[in-house]
Amino acid sequence: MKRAGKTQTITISVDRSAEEFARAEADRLYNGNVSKFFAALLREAERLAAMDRVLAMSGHPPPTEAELDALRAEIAGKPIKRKKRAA
Amino acid sequence: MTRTTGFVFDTGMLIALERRKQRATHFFTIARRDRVPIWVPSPVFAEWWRGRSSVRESIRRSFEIDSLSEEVLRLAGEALANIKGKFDGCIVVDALVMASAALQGDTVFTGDADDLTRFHPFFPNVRVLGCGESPVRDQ
Repeated sequence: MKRAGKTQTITISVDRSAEEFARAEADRLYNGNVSKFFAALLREAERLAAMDRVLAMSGHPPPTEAELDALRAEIAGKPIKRKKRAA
Repeated sequence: MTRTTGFVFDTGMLIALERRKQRATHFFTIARRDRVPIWVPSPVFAEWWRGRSSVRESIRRSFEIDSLSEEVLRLAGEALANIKGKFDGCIVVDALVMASAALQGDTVFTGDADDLTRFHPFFPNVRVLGCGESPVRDQ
């Protein structure tokens, strides 16, 4: 069993359709708990921002799309396609 | 947080990221672009964490800690029973990494793939990719 962490209460304003969507997603994923739905959204935003910081600190230029595709193929366990050399 | 399928990082991968190694950074770029969840088993976190630094804190915020279930612990123990010869404490963490990944269908990123692939007879479906960084670290 997990102990509940300390939480803070905030008030946010969203339009009607966003509210309906949030409530429906909370019903679907978090037993109707809207706070948990928004907490998950914020956590994902925090995670992506942290990843951007790590990548910015790395000092490496971003990989090319070809490099990324080769790594994705490696992850998937597919043979790596190599470009044919010009004759 | 509910455990979902994604990437599992071991200590060597986290150290490689901290040291800005290119291959590790490129795998991390894929996780970022493709929005793949990253999981770090709790013993790996303890093995990696050596106090706060700017880069370490950012790396920490980029993954979820996998608090291992009894199912994972049992599976890791059974995998260890299949390893011949003497082994040290590090191999227990390796077994936990593999067991956690096996149950979720994750891909594992590690410093030294040989440490983990010795478990392949027990976990044949776990994909292990090396990032070219030994898990030995400075204090």
